Amino acid sequence: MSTALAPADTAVNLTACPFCGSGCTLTLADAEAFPVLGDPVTRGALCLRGWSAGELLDSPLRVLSARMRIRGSPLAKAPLETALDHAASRLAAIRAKHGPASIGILASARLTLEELHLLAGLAHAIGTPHLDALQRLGTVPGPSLGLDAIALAQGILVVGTDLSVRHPQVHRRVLQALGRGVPVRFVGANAGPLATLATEWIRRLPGREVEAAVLAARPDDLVLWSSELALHGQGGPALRRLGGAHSWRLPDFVNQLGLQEAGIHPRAGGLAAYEMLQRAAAGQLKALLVFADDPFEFFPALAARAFQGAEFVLVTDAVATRAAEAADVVLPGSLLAEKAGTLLAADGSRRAIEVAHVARAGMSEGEVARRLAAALGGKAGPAPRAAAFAPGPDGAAPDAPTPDYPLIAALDGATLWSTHPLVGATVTARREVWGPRTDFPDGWVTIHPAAAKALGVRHGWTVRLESDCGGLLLAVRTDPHAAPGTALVPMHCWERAGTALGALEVDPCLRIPVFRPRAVRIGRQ
Amino acid sequence: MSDARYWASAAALEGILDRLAAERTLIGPVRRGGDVYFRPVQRAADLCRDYVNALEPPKRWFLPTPERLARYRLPGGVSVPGGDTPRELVFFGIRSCDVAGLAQLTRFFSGETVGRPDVADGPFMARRERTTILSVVCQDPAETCMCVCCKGGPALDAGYDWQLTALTSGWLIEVGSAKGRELTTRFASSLAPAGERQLAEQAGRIAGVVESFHRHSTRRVQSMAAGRMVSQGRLPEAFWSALGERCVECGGCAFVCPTCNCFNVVDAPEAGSGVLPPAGGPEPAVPGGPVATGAEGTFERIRLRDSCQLAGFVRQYGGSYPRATCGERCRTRFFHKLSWQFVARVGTLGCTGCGRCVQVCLGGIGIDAVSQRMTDALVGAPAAAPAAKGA
Repeated sequence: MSTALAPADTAVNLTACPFCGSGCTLTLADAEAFPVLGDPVTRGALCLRGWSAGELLDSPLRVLSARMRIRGSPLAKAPLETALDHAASRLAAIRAKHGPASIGILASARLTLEELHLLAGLAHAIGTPHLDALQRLGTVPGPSLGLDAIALAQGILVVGTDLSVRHPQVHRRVLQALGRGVPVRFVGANAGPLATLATEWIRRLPGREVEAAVLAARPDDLVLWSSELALHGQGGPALRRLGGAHSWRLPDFVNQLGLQEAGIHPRAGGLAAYEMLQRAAAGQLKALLVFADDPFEFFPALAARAFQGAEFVLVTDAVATRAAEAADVVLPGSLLAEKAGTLLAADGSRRAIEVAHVARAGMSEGEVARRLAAALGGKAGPAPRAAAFAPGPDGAAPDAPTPDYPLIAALDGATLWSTHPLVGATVTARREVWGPRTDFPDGWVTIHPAAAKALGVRHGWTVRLESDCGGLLLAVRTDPHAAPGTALVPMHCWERAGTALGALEVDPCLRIPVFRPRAVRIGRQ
Repeated sequence: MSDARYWASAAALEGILDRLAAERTLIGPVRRGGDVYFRPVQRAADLCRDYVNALEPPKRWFLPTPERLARYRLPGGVSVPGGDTPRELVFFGIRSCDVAGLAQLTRFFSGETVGRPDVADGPFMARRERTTILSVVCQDPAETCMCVCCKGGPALDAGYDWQLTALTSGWLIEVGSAKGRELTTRFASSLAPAGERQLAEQAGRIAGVVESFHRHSTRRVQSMAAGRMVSQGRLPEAFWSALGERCVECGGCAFVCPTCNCFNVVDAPEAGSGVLPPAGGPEPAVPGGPVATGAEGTFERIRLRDSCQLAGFVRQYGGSYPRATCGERCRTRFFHKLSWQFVARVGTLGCTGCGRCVQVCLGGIGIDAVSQRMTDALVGAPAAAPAAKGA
């Protein structure tokens, strides 16, 4: 932490917050993040993630040196060049033996646009069609609007998302619109700041928000929605029925729109990110290259099988993750604050970021991609532009409650950030979103206090959550914000609960895993 | 009020600052785009002269985050030498609201507010003692500034080493400390006693700022009425829960407040350890931590800025939350900003009127809006209804 005591840098360099899709500009004064008053997005305000961004620079979880394992040995530190050469030779051998399509690449919205293009170049050099990003989760192709659209709106309809958690800057503008007397209506299940403050709250169970929004939308409304719809299997209906000119799908991650721009999505003959994990787990994909992401975040069991099933896994990241722990080679990446480049903000505009802090590691993810592409020979020149993503048909409809299964199980969107590797590498933001994980290490289900009373269970008790497919044991958390009639599962229990309840499915429209809202009941243990 | 006043030409002051910059770290306002930041400068010419206050409060130089308090090696707990000695800093151009905030922080970290000098915070006090404050009377208030309401400006009676006022020709310098007198002695050849004309011009300029505030600004810290409401516990639970609905718990109000002193201290493996929490076990509060029995390696004790608005700040081991709702935490925050009890203990309001909380608040509940709601509650205005919507 010596930089905190020796502030010698006289420059003011502007970078971007590495978390949500707002595209907040921030400065790093030594290792302390501050917003920028003149920035059109932040106007001087950040959420806690942004305020905590400086804590990443000296995090104990920073990966500052390369590590590799050979023939099942434990990961051991290795010179960067040695690890890079080892990775290149392993990939060349796998390509020679199994063909280029045996290698899959997982990109990340934490990378700059230039780096994403370099990853596309790496895929081209290898010759593999398998290039996608797990952080494409919930991304529905659609037009981008800007914060000015909120300032000009005559009416606003927010659909199925807690903006105060997912998009604080948009939340701020919506509150300001409320203050100006603009009618703001909220369609969603759970209580929260916007549900309470909105002019009208149209309460619907999870999975039913799109159909309610279509009925409620007025011609002049600006419709705001985010990935929570897609994660509950409503991606297709949202794309087709809410994707008009006056609707804005808010990106969740910093350069999620950059993924679209760089063509990081399932291509012709290529696998989607989740499918890559499935194929690797089945031994059909022989190598995985993971850049700045952690597949263990939402899918720990599948990721563990995939990493075991693949012959070789390379992880390049700025912070230690479960993926890095399970990889064959780990290369140190860089944080956005240590890079210069371009990001696509929520409004689709290009934002240049500067090097705001001296790089702690020797290489960036983009440089790793460039070096690997060069080492693997491949075809010279930039990668051909990928065709636009073609959405498929809608997935299965959500369940309705039944007498035997009177509750609807869904993901708790408010816990989106509780698994993010960068949040986990901070102290302050991590403490805020990980508190319940400390209290309930084996996972939990959140229900309304009235529902708990009716069931005869109390906060902290272990219960059995079950659908007609099966069930699992979880602790009960009571929260008045949870909608009566729902049982909310935190994002980090998505895979475990989704598998047990039969809710984890692949959406044929967007080719992403979803948690289809299922009818469930809670039984006392 | 300072008893010693001098006048210096613009060139003379620039010469003084250049000489100080050559031997110490001179920190002052620099411009990037439309914003102002306080940064070290090599020479006085690098400073910008016409600016509204920076969003970054000067307290970051005294309470940096993260700040390494100690390093030690396990097993054994042997202390590892390291760390930096605080440098001699000279602040030029900070505003009165920040000087007042720094004075309050100094009272807190010196142990003065609890009458316990033996619990003074060493790192903070070391930095404070090595710092010279050359403040500048604010003549360019931001739209969000409210120092007039809190006795936080535009000029102060104490807390500075030098307090400078820009005049039509040159600078008026008021001396406020022994450190300031030393500077005066050292740079005597560049200074002249202030004349009546210059004193009159300064008084006129300060009065102009105050008058302009009363005439044009719509923002107020309603410290009297709001203080009464919060001190006497007259605000209903619904008032605070409505406030809690607007707060998104970003912590920004505390991070930029010149008087807020909340901090967190954690032990963690040193930077770059790449240590993962144990798989499947309870999630640690700190990356890689807590330090388990049998841990090996180099560890750090670090201090980070914190906020009483955050749920994790009030969480106790065992999982209980003494102030479980955001509304309850709002009540604590504003009690510490405006209550008579706080004033009796600390000597001043917990707000100097800098207006930064207004700028950073995502929920539109800066101290002006909240104190106005409290005042409305006192007089029974309809705007005080807890369910009031919009900003």
